[in-house]
Amino acid sequence: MPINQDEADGERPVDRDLDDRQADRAPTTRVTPLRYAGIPADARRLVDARRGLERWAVAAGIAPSVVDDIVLAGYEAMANAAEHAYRLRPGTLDLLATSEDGEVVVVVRDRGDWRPPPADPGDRGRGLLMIRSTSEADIDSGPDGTTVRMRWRR
Amino acid sequence: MTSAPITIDVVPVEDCVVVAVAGEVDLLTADQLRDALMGVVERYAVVVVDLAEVQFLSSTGLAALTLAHRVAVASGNQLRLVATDRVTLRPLEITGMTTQIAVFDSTDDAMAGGDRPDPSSPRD
Repeated sequence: MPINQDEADGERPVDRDLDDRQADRAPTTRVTPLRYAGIPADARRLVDARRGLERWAVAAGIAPSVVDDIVLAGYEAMANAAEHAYRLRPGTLDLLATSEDGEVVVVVRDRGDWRPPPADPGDRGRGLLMIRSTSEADIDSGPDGTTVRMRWRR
Repeated sequence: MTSAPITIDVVPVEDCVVVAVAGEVDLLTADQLRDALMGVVERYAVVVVDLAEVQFLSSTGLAALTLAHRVAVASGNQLRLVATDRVTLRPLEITGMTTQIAVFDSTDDAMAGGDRPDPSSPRD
């Protein structure tokens, strides 16, 4: 795999939970978190990361319209990191996705510095608009990098 | 293989041109779309960009469409879109582009007119 992938990391649902599930009678699909650490902030690698995120979201049983938004917002966050945090210089980013308790959370973290938006925000303005319109987003930007945290009810 | 090329078919029809795009329009491929559009927007009265076979449309792709639209209008021409799937309509709608660029359900409709002709009038 071209990017560092440890999807298998984490706990799998095990049989000891079966009794609880039956008692609750609530449908429960658990999915192991997706963790891509140190993805090169490069347009080609971001294609892999986007496809990995989509595959994970579908496997998690998330509704197709929400999957579309997760993939769109997640990709825009990664593209922002590549374009604006590193300004197309070498750098890496991390992608984390979790789905639990009816909530999907996708976190994209970079270690670059985002430039202040120019007078005409252009691409970046549109990318942030897409993130904020398709998710509940928190963006925490500091000297050590930026973390974009996006949430959806599944 | 990590590359995700897009396929662009340019089909001139008299003073119109249909630019049919297939694949994933993102940071990697948006330049290809931009270049294809910039090659036609000043030369054809009507440029129809068919996004029906596009499976992903990022903000960089939207930037290419916006630029092409601006240049077309500055040249006295028109740029129209064909978008039929949520995956393309959603980014266009979120960013307000559907209020600036006419969107149609099919290339036939797009070529027939941006003026939304009277439904009772016959269409050639």
